[in-house]
Amino acid sequence: MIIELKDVHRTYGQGASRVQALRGITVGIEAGSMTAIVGPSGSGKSTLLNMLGALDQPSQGQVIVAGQSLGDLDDNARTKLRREKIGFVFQFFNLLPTLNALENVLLPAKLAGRGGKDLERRAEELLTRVGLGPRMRHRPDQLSGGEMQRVAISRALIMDPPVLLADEPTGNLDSNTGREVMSLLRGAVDSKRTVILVTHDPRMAQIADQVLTIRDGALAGIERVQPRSAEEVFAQQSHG
Amino acid sequence: MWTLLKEVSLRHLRHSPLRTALVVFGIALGVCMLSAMLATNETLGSAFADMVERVAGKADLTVAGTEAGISSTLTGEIADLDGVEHAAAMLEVVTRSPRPGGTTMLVLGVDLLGDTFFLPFAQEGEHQVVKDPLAFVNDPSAILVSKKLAETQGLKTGDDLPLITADGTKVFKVRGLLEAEGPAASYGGQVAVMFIDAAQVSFARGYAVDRIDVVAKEGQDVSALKERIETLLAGRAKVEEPKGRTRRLVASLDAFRNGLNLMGLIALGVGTFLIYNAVSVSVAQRRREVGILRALGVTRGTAVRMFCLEGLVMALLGVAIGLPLAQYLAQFALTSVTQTVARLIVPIQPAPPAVTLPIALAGAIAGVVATLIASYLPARATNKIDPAEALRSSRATSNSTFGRPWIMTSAAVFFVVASPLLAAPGTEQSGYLSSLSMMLGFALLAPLGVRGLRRLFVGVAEAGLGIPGRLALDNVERSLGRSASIVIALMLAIAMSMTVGAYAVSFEASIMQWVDDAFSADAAVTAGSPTVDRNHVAFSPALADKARAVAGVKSVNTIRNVSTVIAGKNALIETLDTRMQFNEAKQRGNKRKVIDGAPEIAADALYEKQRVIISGNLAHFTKLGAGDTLQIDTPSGPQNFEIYAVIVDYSSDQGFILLDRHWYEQYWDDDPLDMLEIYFQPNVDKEKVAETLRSTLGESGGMIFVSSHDSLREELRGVARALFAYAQAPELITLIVAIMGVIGTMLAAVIDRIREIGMLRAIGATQKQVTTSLVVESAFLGFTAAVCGIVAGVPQGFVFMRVVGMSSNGWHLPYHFPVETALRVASIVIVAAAVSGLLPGRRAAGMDVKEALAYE
Repeated sequence: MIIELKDVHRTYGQGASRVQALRGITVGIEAGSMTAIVGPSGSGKSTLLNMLGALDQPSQGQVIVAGQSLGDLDDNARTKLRREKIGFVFQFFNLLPTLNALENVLLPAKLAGRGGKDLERRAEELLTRVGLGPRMRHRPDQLSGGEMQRVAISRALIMDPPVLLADEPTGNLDSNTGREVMSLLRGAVDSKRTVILVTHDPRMAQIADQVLTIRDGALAGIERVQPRSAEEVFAQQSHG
Repeated sequence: MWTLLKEVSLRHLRHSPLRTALVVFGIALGVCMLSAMLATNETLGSAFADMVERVAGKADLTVAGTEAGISSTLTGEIADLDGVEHAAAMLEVVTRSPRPGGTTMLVLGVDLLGDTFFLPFAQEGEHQVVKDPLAFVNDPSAILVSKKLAETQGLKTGDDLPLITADGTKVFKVRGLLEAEGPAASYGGQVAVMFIDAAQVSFARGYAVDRIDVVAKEGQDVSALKERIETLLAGRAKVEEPKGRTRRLVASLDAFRNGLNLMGLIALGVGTFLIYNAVSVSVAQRRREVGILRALGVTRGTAVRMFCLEGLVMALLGVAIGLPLAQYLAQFALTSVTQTVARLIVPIQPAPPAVTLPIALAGAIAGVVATLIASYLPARATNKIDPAEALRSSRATSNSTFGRPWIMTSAAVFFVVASPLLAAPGTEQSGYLSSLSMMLGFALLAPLGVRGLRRLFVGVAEAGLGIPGRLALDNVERSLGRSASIVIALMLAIAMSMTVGAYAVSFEASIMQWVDDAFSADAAVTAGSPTVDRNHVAFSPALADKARAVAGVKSVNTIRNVSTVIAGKNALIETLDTRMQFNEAKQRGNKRKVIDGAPEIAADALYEKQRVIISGNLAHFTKLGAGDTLQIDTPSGPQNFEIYAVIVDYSSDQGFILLDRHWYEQYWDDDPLDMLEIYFQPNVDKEKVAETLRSTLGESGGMIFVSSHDSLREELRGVARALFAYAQAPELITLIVAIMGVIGTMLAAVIDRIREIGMLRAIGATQKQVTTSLVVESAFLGFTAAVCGIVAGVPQGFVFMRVVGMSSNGWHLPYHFPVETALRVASIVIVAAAVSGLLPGRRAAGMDVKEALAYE
């Protein structure tokens, strides 16, 4: 298991304003798989994803990511863990507007104090692989939404992390672009990475290997599915 | 409206304590500085007026001459004129006690045997102070002291009071104490009274008096009497109403008072900027809220008024804090200004400053109006908020109109307007116009400076500090509008420091060069103070004879300084043996810089004919040049002197006249001396001769100073620096702008970039990297402002010296770049900006990453 959650609780606030966002979640996620977290708004999906991304700490229970228990790590160690083991893809891309596509991809490496020609070549390869070879010197405001998300995926992959977390990665994209992005994420799984995504979109869940359903902060179900390709899912949708 | 204020605005003020504090501080700063400066000015002016009016007492008219005084025989002549009820002479001398801690005091010489109407104490009935007037006038050591002076010096009737006189220290006997009324309450109450004859002897004034006070008979037209006295005087002295004298004296404070007022106004401007900045941030951050309010039916006007009302609430808080603090600041400012004024203009001992009701009202109104303006301008931006758009996204977009063609054209126009005024000095008004125009031009170009410097240094920042450095500089350009706003404010403050700094440095350099050119002697002798200033005491010519007898002394030049009114200015006349001075200067290779006239000054030029040499500023004020005739009022009536040359001289900002001693002796009949220039024999041990002079001349204990050329130079350097002591004030203001402005700007930047900071933290940025980036961004804002301010300060300083300086003191000073000021101000601003970035930086670094990522 690359990620394990053991009886994880998360509570915010105190007294009357106390909110229990997660209630006793226990689940394991296998390396090299794609997991979709689904559920209604306010069910605790994002809280769970934050937990997995070492952005939040459980009030109770244990979260183990890539063999490290988050409870044992201080802020610097969690930052190091995120930097080396986890790649993030956000709904709103979160690219820095002053950096071009290539520089945005290289950003995590530079924050880690790494650089050099090898990394630059890797960033160029990643961008070329997602079809942005000719546009790697463009700034975000010169790119479309889909292109920006492809840059964001390349950025998430630059440090070669074993885990990729995506929060509504297609939430801000049209159908075609969404399909392209999902293909890329599926491709990451095929490269032996673990991808976990939060989505509202039922089509996305069909591309995953496993679907976790969260309801009122509790794990309502774990469903193992036969993954389908993004093209297949989106083609069916357009015909349907 | 009140509901909005209560339910929305006041909650915001409570929930954003830092921003609220920033605005309140801005208002308090402006109100405090303005009120304090007004109070200081008022107290200074009152101290001057009080001094003159108390001494003048009940007089309708006052007859006065120069420091040499006027003949006492005029008293009788005036008293005999038709329409004169009372006329009495008075001598005014400022001296000091040589005791340790002895203060300066005003000694009034009065005539107890003449018209006693003006006596500064009761001399009739049972309260008479001098019980036996005859015994008093027959005792040359008899003196009366004010109760305040007695208290300060620990004196009582019958005690000894040593004073520095023209013949060294003399011990006087206290014969009575005066109530703090009338003249005895002037000069801060540090007043002593002597019989006029005794005072004339003690201070080597011969038969001269300083003033004759006149009271007209009842029903007598004072103007007509004034004309009659003028006819009688025939130019030997001036007659004026005490009010006129007060005005003239108070006017000599103008430079200081204008400087103080300027500081107050600048502080108010800075406060206004801080408020503008904070309200702009508030408006930007509350776009969504304004959108909701608008969607709920709040009109555009109400939204604008809501922000203005918020400003008003904070203004009232700021006023409440600023006014009490003004009292302390005024006390501090008055103490430092009084020392300089006392040394250079007139010794005064002002009462404690008071923030009176009118001053408090002026400060409060200025604070409230400035706040409303500073709130209204950014609040107008709410007019442009589209409710639907604002509800979709709450984040403010930072955009800027800087760099657009009309901006560049406007900047060019401002520089074109400024340049002819820069090239050709004109009036003070044209100087200010040029200065304002230039600063507007620089303000418009500041964003270009931000961009240019960012491009120049972004590589260095990334190489040195990694990606946090790169992001820091990128963000400065990205939020160009906000960056430019703080850069412009700081730039203006720095340019102001550079202007004052340039003036101070240029003045000091010119003074030092002038001392080398003008003062060739090996030593100077003065009494009471190392230089001829308002604390020095005139001495008897006998001291010159003593100096001549000292072994190693080659010659002694006797110097007397008096003033005369020319072109409405109190020009200084320096009288000495010009042949000796010019010959000695020539032997030592020194030469006065001639502006107009023969480049080589003939040694006997001022001796052989009735000629004078005048300073460049007097030539500027009088529009006279070499070859013209200058009329000077003397106790023997007006005399015409040919102007032999116009030279560079910084002895007086009111104008300077060099006159040969023998003309002075002929027309002024005045004995006391202010300074001796001592020339030593060649190849003597200068230190040893100076020491012998000190011991020989100091035997009489009259606080004699023997200064070498170098020590005199240093004394004058000290005087030059004291004149510009207030130059530190703009630097303090710059520091405040840097700290408060940068904190406000960076807090706004953090709020604008919350999600971005969350993303950086999520993908691996450490807290230290986030803090570093914001600190570097702040420091770079400071650096950019420093570069822009220093660049803008150079032409600004040039204009100030060329136009404003020329019109106020007539000195044409060569421009010197103020290296020390530039380095000091740049360091202050960069360090203050960097430190100010720490708070927003830490706040950003400490943000909850998941909340930052979810921020909308």
